[in-house]
Formats: sequence, structure tokens, C-alpha cells
Amino acid sequence: MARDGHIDIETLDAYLLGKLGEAEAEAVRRHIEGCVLCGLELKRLQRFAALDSDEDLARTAEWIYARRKLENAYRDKIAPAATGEAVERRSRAPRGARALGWLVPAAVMAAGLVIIGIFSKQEDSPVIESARRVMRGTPPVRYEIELVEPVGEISAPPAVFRWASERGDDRYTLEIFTPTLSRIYLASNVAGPSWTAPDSLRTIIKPNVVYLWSVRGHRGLERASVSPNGWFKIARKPMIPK
Amino acid sequence: MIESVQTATDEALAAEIAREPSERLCTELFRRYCKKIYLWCFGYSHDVEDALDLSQEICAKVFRSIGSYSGRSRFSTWVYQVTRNHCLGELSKRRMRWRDRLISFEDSAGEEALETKIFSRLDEIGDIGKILTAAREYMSMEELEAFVLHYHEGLTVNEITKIVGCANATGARALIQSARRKFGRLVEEKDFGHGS
Repeated sequence: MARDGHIDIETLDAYLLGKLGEAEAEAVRRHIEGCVLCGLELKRLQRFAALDSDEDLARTAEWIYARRKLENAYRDKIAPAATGEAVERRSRAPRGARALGWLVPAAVMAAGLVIIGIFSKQEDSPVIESARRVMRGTPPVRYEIELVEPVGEISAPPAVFRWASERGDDRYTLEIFTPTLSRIYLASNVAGPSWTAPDSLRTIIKPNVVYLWSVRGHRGLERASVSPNGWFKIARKPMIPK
Repeated sequence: MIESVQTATDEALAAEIAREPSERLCTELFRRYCKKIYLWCFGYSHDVEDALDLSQEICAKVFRSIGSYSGRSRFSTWVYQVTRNHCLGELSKRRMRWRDRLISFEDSAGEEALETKIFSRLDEIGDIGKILTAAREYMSMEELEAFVLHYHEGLTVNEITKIVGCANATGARALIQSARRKFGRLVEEKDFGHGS
């Protein structure tokens, strides 16, 4: 049962499940009462089993965002390695087929270029005209607000948010998001191109997490001016020398 | 041969994957364990991206070494072991980084200095078993547990609250603080770690 004076994990597992005989269970109980490491191991095992239902921790750990990333990693890397599919696929494909594999997309691309060439010689081709319409499309967004601070890595929670507006709007709306794009703060009707962060925001913002922020400007009934998304992150504190 | 993947036990899935891995079975096992593994890693790393890196490595390791699962415990216990060992291994590689994070939880400069001193004494003494034996007469079991989880394994106060079973984070914080005070006294009185 014991190894290095401690209870092995299989016995602890059986103890948790109530599978041990009375005498053995009593011995485990007595050992745990006096052994911090075995007592902790038992508590950790119980905690591991209960992790799934800890919604608070899931929120703090941004599980929804993490799950998507993990599922992608599983699909792209872990599953192929686990099932040996990638290796199998490579080994199943005949050498000639592998060598010719790139020829198919290349042929399709060449045929497309030839067709475009033929149509481009006809001045009023309807295909070219509709393509031109698509190309004209919606003009790209023009950012009339430039974010000044905080931008990039910073050493402490931001005290002030500043931006510069080309057209000088009357009031502004500022939004701050987590990396999963859930909004953590909205400040509306800000009078000038800066905003002092309240203490409530400074306590929400955690070190080493990237936050996104953006500003919209409003002037009368005109369309809103916009900024690109900026980001900031509170860098870890510098190491403290021993 | 497994007929219904959804109703199959973890142990049956693991045995079948070890015999003949298939994407269907692996996906089901991944679905059952990825959240547990990720949240456990987050408890150690306190950081989403670090926890993602760690949990990807652990998931890959679980599938890679699934053949070594002997069936002597529940499969979840085996996964716990793989997860915990991997996290502790990474923790010792990145020791200075997570200690820096722990120190940054403390508010005043005096607290920071005390934390730094404790870490340096822990490094000098080295063996956690030796510390626990000596500290047994100074600290209660709960204080010892909180001390190990906080200073040796780098867990957050919230996570310690849940493992030790405190009613709230204030209780766990009080345990850590009194353990820290008593550890300071122990080091002064016993002077262990200096050639003993």
C-alpha cells in the first residue's frame, strides 16, 4: 500500500470509492490524519473530479475562448497524432499520386487565367463589367480617430485613455473588451478626447491579459467617426532580486 | 468493440484506444477531459495562454501514453496524475516566473520582501518533506496544506480555498498568512537549511 512512506494513488482512489476493506480503509484514514502530502493528494483528487462543475473558475479562466482554441488544436495536431492519420495518409498515397498532387490546382488556376484573358479583350464584356462593380464596392473604413494611450504593453493599470479626433466630435463612446470580445466597460457621453479610468475598471483589469478598446465620436446627427481597435496589456512586474 | 461511444465508460474507451486508436473514440475522450485538464492548468499557471499551451501538451501526452494505463485506478485518476505531474514539472522549469506572479498578489512592499525571503529559504532547504516534518509542531494541518499549495505549488488563493475546503477566500488567506508567520518563526528558531 505505501511507497516512500506515502499511500499510492491507486489506494487513495479505491479509498475514495469506498472499495477498501474496513481494516485497510482505517489504516488509510489514520495515515492521512498525520500526513499532509497524502491528505493533500486526496483533496486534489476530489478537486479534479469536481472541476467540470466550477462555473466561477470557468469564467475566470475564460473557458469559452479556451475551448475553441483547444478544439482547434485537437483537430489540427492532437487527433492526427493520436490516431496516426497523418502518417497513414502519407504512407497510403502512392508516390506518383503525391508527386502529381500539386498539378490539379495548378491546372485549374491556369485555365482560370486563360478565361480571364479571353474576356478582358472584349471591351463590353458583362463579366468584366460586373467584376468592376464588385471591385468598386463599399469604400474601405476610414478611421478618423487615432488611439493615443494606452497602447501596447504598459506597466500599471491605465489611469487615463486618450485619443485624437480629426474632425473634433462633441462627445465620444469608449468600449473595452476582453480577448473573447465580451465588453467589460462602456463609457458613453465622454465630452473630450480623454477619459479618466474609474477605480472600478482598474480593479477589473488583470495583468498579462490583452484588452481591446475602441472609440466612436458623435457630432450632431452626422455619422459616427470611428477608431481602429487598439490593445493594451499590463506587463508582469519586473523580477525582484533575491 | 464499443457500440455506443456516448455511453461507454472512460476505462472502456481508453482500453479500445490503446488497442486500436480511432478518431471517434479519441474525440469523445478529449471532449470528456479537456475542460478538467484546462482548468487544472489554469489553477497552476494563472494565465489563459500558458494554460492553453500546458493543456495541449497534456492532451497529447494522454493519448501518446494511453497504453501505459494499467486499469488499477479509475481512468480519471490516471489523467489527474499525468496532468499534475506535467504541471509540477513545468512549474519547476518556470519557477521564477510564477513566483513573481505570486509576489505581485501582495500589496505592500513589506509583504513582497517577506515572500521573497520565504522563497529564498525554501530554495535553501530544498526538500519539502523536510520542511513539513519540521513545521508539523508549529502549524496546524490546514496551515501546512495552505502553505504547500501556495508556496510550493503556486496555486491562487481561490483555488486553495476550494481544495482545502475553506468557506471563503478570506479563510484561505488567513491560513496562508498565519502559516507564513509561523514559517518565519520556525526558520529563526530551528535554523534548518544552514548545514543541518
